[in-house]
Amino acid sequence: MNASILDPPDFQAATAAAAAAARAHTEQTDLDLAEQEQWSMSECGFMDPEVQRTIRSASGAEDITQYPLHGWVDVTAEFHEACAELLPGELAQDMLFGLFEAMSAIEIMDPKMDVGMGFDKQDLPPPSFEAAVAMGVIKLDELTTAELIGIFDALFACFVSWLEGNSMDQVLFTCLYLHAPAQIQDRPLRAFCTAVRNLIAVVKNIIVMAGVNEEEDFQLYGNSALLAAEKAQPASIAPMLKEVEDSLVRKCKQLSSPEDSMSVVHRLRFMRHLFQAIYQVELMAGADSAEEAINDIYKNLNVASELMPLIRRTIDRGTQPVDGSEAPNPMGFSPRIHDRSQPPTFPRSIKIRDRPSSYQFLEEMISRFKYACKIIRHKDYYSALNFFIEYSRKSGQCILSRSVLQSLFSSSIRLVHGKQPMKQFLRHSVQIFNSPPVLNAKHPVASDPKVQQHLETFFRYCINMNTFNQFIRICGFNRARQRDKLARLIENFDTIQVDAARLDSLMNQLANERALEGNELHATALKHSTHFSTWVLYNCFRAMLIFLMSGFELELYAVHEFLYIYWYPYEFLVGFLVSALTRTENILLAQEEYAEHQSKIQANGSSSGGGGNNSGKNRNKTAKPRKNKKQQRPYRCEIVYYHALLSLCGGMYKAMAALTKDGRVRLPMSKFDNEEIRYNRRFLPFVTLTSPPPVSYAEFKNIRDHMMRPSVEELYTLAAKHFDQARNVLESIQNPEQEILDLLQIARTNFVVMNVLARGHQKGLKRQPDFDFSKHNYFPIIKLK
Amino acid sequence: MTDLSVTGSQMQVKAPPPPTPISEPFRITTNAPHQINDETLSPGRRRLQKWLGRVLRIKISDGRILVGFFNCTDRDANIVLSMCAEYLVEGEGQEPRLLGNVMVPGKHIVSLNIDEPKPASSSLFL
Repeated sequence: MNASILDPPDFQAATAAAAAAARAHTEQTDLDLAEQEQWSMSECGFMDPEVQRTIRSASGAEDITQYPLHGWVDVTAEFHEACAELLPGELAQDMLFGLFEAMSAIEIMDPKMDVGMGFDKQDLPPPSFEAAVAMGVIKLDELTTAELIGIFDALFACFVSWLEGNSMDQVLFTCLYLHAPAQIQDRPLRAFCTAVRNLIAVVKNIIVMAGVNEEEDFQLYGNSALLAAEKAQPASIAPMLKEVEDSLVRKCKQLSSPEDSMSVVHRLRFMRHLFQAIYQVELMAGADSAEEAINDIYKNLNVASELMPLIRRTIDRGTQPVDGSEAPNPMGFSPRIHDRSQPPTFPRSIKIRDRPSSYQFLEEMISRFKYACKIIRHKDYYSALNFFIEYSRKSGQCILSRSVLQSLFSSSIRLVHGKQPMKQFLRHSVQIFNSPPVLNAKHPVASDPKVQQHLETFFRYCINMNTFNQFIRICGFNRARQRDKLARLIENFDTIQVDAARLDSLMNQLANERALEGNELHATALKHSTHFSTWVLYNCFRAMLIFLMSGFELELYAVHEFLYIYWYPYEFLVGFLVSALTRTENILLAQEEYAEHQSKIQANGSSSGGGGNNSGKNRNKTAKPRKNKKQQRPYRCEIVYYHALLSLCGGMYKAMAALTKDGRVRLPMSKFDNEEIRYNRRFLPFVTLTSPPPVSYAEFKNIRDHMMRPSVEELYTLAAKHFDQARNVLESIQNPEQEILDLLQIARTNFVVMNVLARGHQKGLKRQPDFDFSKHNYFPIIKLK
Repeated sequence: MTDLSVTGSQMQVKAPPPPTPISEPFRITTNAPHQINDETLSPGRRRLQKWLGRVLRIKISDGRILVGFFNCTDRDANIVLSMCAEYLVEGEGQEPRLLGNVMVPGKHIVSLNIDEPKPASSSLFL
């Protein structure tokens, strides 16, 4: 008895001790950490009743539906009297009420936010599919062509509205036919509805895989239970639609006026090709050859875009939505069916696009897809990145277009263009960019085992190699999100810069060793190599420039900040880019000259050793065609462009200086102002980089003070000079693109404005001019008011 | 009335800091400990103060009923409720829709009810 009472504690103590001992071995540190954390938690005031209450209310543990606990007491009059005692602007608020609660509140009776508004209590709940069938308000068979066209067009409008960021439930699934396509007897309608359901699944997949969506772009999560009711079989969609089309076409032949039926056929055919194209994008990952797959996609897109005018011409043949009704089509839609099942913080009030503009959207989307297919031609990083940047500028607003481009380019993080490993792609890219002899497989130095080893280490084990991949992915995000992602990307460049510089110096070291060994050929190939660091730096500079200038596009900068934002690229960044490109060109030139020189030697002494001869010939083969095709200066265009950018930045910088000195720029009140903090904040992502070294605020201030010394008139003249230079450079470009023409107009206008100001125009009026960014995202036209 | 100050007395673990004079445009009446027993407040403010944090039931102009914790109000009786539940019609046995934080514009308010024990006279009937 006694023992049995005593035993358990003993036993417990023993097990506890054993367990503690065991833990002590393995988890000593973890335990300590955990304990420390616990301490700090309670020290931080987690036991505070205030905080406890916040936690409780946040977790939703309190159930509002259990109230009233006592009973409702009418206080309407009392309440209003009490409120009337408050002063205008005065609040009576709970002590836990703050800005967050205020901002997250939905405004009741606001048509944009309050979905429950105007809910007539006499109304029946919105009909479901079964209810609608039972009531006989939707037909399942023998639909007229007008009804079919109306439903098809309405569904396309819903699809477009979905792609624009609305919830799937609130747009597509207001169509009752989509809830149970298998129960539809009418074959064209059943085929079309099944296709739409599958299209939803495929599009969702593409967007998820591409991963360049943000919550503001796209509502990924809808009521998937609705989709799950019938299985998706995307592979069977095209044949199914084809069959229905064929039978309709056969029927048409017996009709005296087949136009209406043909309009149905066109829509089914359009759906088939659009679906095929998008489905093939999803299958890219498994495609044997990326070229073939993209060819197929392109063909489908072509057919789809050819059908578009036929469809747009026949929109009026379908049933049209009733005026004042929320339903996109009189039959088959139940607009409010999911309103009460949506979470409260959802974007509530939605407006489905009208039919003509939906088809316009689809037409534009198809041409964006076609443009995206061109990515297959960009086989190296440099041109692929350019393509992505361009694409984002032109088509950055459509989430599906952006995702399709990502899928077409790389089906997974490690693979590019079908089955090419990322590592190889980057290796190839450096070779295209500045052609280091060590990467040229034909060059004898490439077989040097030590060289091989270093290269392998760099391309395979450098984790930050992913930075390059990341840069391309970032270009797929929406324009606003690109900026903060770029900020983080720029930080990552530092490690890879260090690694690239190390690789270059190893190559130089090897050059010395080989020279000592008397291996002249290898030594020359390895010497003065800055290939890798130049390549990395160039890409880093580009990220920095895009980051900085995107602030103008996103309207983040105040006018009084323009000065240092334009100053940095003028003084440093654009210059760095130009010098990186010039250096690259020089390297390429020197190599070609050297190759020519070598081949001449070889040609003269044709009796010399066979091995050397071979390599000489091979190099001739590889070097010559490129030289002829791309001329000697492959980066000339870009360098010229950057020269123009440099002058424009210089012009804006000095114009801002002159305007500031002239008192025409509104400055913040000094008691709220700290320029240093703003400056540091604007250049924050650059601080972590070793190269280019960060420029402190003090340095900037020195430079600016020095620059600001001349008189206002002189400063205006200086700015005018810069704009004039920019104009000269831009005019020298042959076959200019629209962007160049726009920049030209900006340079010309600003040149005139600066001259006018230099001559003392509106001297007494110290009004801030307008900065009109409508022509270009980065540079404004300065307009005097 | 005594049970109403439960939150207030709980909060008074710390010594109440001296009431800071608030400049007029930012004036705030709250149920925070330093104000809860402030005798100088006008009767209306004291009444609002006592209701803050309690459950309020609002009937609005389109007939819906909103029930939630009373968080904030102003001169125009715009009211912020937290953890709000929406009922389409009055009466028992309905499934409410949970809305989270809502702001009810004063002009849409039809009637207000607070959850509290009935005054002494009516409590006889309970």
